[in-house]
Amino acid sequence: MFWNIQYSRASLVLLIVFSVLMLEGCSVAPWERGNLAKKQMLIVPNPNRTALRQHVFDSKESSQGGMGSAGGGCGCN
Amino acid sequence: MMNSGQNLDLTNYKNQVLLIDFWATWCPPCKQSMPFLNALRNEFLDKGFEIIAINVDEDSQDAQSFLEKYPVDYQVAYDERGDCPAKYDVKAMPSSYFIDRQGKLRYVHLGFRHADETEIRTRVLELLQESR
Amino acid sequence: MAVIKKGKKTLAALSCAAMGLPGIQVSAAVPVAGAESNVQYGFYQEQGERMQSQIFHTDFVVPFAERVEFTFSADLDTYVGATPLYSTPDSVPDIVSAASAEFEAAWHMASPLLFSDESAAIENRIGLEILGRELFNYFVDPFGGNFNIKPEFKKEAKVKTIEEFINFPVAVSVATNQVMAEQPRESRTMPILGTSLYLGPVTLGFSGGFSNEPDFKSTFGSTNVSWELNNKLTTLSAGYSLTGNDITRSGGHGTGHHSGFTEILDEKSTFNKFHWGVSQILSKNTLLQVNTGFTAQRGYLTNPYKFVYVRGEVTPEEYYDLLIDTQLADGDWAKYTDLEVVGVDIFREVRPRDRDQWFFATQLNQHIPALDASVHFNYRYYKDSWKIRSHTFELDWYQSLPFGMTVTPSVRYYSQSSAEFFAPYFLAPRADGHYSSDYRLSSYGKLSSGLSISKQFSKGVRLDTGFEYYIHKGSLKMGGDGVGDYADITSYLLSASLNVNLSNLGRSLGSHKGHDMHAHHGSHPPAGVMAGHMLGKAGDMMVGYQYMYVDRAGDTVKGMHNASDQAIVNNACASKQCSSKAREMTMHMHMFNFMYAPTDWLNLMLMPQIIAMEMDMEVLPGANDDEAHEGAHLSEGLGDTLMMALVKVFDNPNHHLHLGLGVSAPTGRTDATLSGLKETDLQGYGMQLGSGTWDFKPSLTYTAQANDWLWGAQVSATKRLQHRNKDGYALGDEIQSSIWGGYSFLPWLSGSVRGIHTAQSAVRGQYDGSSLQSAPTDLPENYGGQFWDVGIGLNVSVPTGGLAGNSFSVEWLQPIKHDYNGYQLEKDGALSVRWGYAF
Repeated sequence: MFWNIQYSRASLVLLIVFSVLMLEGCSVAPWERGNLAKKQMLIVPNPNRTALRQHVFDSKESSQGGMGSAGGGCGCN
Repeated sequence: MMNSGQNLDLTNYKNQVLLIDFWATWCPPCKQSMPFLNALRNEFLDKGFEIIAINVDEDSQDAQSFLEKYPVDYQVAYDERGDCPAKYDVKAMPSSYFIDRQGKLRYVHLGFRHADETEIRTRVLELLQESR
Repeated sequence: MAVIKKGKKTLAALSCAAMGLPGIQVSAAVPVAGAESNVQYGFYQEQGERMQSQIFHTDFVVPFAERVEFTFSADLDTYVGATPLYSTPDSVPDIVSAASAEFEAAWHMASPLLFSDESAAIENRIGLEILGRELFNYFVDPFGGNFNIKPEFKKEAKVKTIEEFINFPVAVSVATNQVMAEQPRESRTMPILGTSLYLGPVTLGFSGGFSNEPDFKSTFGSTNVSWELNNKLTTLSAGYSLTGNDITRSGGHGTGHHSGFTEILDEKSTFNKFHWGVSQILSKNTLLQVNTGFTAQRGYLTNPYKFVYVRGEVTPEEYYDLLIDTQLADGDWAKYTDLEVVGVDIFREVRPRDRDQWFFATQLNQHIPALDASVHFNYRYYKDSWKIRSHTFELDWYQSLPFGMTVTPSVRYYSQSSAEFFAPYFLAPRADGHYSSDYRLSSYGKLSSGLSISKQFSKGVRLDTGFEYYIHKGSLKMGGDGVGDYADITSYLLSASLNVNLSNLGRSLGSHKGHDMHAHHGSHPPAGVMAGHMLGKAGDMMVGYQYMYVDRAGDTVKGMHNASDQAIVNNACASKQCSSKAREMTMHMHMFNFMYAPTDWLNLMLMPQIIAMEMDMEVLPGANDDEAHEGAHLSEGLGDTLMMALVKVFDNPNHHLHLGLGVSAPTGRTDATLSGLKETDLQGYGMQLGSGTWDFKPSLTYTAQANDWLWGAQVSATKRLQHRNKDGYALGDEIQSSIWGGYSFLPWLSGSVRGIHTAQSAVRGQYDGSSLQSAPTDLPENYGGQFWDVGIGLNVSVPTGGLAGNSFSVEWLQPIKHDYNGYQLEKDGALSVRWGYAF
């Protein structure tokens, strides 16, 4: 009920994508993250506007989910 | 290292304790560290302590605009291409490289939080106390 | 070294800010540098007179100890408008709806034929004309003189009549007709608290909150974690959330939305949601994100306000059996159907009690250095156990422009297939007993385009505005098998938000204009004084929030003395007897304050506000029950907006005098009704959110301080600039004078005592629309009067350090004497809480 074949398939895809990306060794040095740190490169540059639009979509459409997760950014310590 | 066409020569700093700080305007902890570093440098300048900040913004104009509003007293060098941080194998932003009076790299501090201030100060004092 | 001035854009506001909002986990590895606050307004409108919604949002993010962040957000949505109730084949417009006038007429005309053994000639003839000539010939004895039904065919005739009546022919290509219902004005409130913990490569977040609207209460909590790996190039994230909902309905105010067939509803549902994802930096300019999630919904998932047309669920024989002696509404339908009957062949919809949802989404961000722009491409695939499948594609182009501006055009395409149990109408019952005609579950496509413009001001303030236009069409469905065009609709969303960065970063880096001016302890008057403080220097700004709570409870007072219930009944409602009175009334006002000093002697202020009021009524003894309204009445939404110019008349370190010239714009509604539906009985004048008129608000304020003592005075007035507002009345003019004195116990803490006199005249004119006039609050003469209050307050002002520029004050106003016009519920007191940040 909670788990079905499509769910397993997608998780597998995710795992493969992740492994490939990790092994690829695409390396961006810590000091080269200037562009990634820009607001326009954030996964969700404007959280409030995104939340508002998502609220409208969730009320008027039948799909949910897909909101951004963490990542990118300045990579500062 | 490039500085508006003028190379920065580390031999000028022999017998001094040097803190090389890699920073950028897009890095909030870097900017948060600057008032502390400025105060630290001014405090121990006469004891032979100096800071060189190497800015790695791809467009150094961004850094210069920032420094106009929030100036610091220590030397700032610009490395748009990133040759310098690559040479120093910088692992995080910001990174502080502590160089002793003999010119040897002694310690690297990664990142910055206000809680780190005591530790940085202690390290600088230790290195200053060593004989030439 | 030489500094080259280029006049380029100012550096964009820095990016490592985390916002904890429900369902969104967006964080970088460091907390915000300084506290931030946002205020947002959204306006959503569907074409014609359909749904209209206003969304007010505010949030705060406060960092702590460099490893923790606290977030708080509050939302208020108000919504009103027409929504589809159900849909039928277009063959016989609306005759099937039990609530329609045409149905009533036809049914009444047909019923003597069906239900009586006697016949009334003329009515029968008319009834038969509606039902068809064939029936007339088949069943009626033409020689019986009065057209009686032949006795041997009585039951059969009646059953056949019903069958002909309800089973009108539906051609294959017949259009679908939507029947609309009016949604009464309602509001939803949602506070959320959250916290994030930054533990090196791992960030943990927790949040919880609730959402309340009249028939739906939801409580939710969530947790999420993100983990940075691979030299911070890869971030794994995962999250879980739990939501519990209570869906209730208790009969409501009667007509329309809550139709006559309401049953008590008390249901629950639970949602368990998991999601995880990975984001990977592919290059200096490229970021890829992939995530997936699963939600299990269990419990009551039906929309209790949507109906469906189902033919054949109740057969003509069953209608005959049930209706022969009873009215449609009183019938015991449970013997014949599990569905809830709301009309002839009209039932309340039923959705399954479980729903498994799953999505897979990916986003690619690509930066284009040559243009200083970034493109975001987003795709999401969704499917669920109701057989709905959808694809969402979105493309956003973030273009940086000079002067700190970013313009973002966007385009989005959404396509979904319908739920398994969806149909515009049902010509035969479904085996699983699940039905819905909610067009949001149908097959359709939606195309939207939007534009967003953002401007960063140099002082850590950012303004964002956006517009998006949506086209929902059956024919836009991917693959083309949409539900048709009967539910096509267009709508738009407008939004504006302000982001204020409260960081002390600028200050601590030195050489910044002395803000110690603002830290004059005592230069802030008590919390309840409006427009009492001016900014010192040109270029200064201030943002603030003020909360005011007013409580009225206890006795109803006429003039200066308590009035007995009998006196109220006889005298307070003008020409008739009162049947109810207010027992308690509470008002919460949330005011957002923005001030800017273009010059040293002039300040400009903008103050929008949100008001929430609740009034509890009770029935008076011996009252006429038809008109008594008991229980709680709510009124929530945007109030009037104040715009003011403050002019410094005199200013030295000890004494200050300024003049305020304000105008109040009537952005608050004045047509709130008891039921929430338009054009029904209006609420009392005191429950309206605004004055409805443009008002002039002048004031003169004097403040002074010497050593540790402070004092001041203010005279302010409100003069209505219009004779009547659009609802036929105008509030009274008002003059208020107050005088205060205080003492600073500590450099940052002072206390004050204040005396206030207010004189306000009664409401002029009266409602053009209908008003029950059955309680004192419904009558214009029961407003205004003279009031004397005493205020006690505390003020905290931070002169230097990390929180410099912040001020916080509290004041309690205690009424000591009053002389009310007419009959009014007495005021118990008022509390003002004010926070301001000057920079």
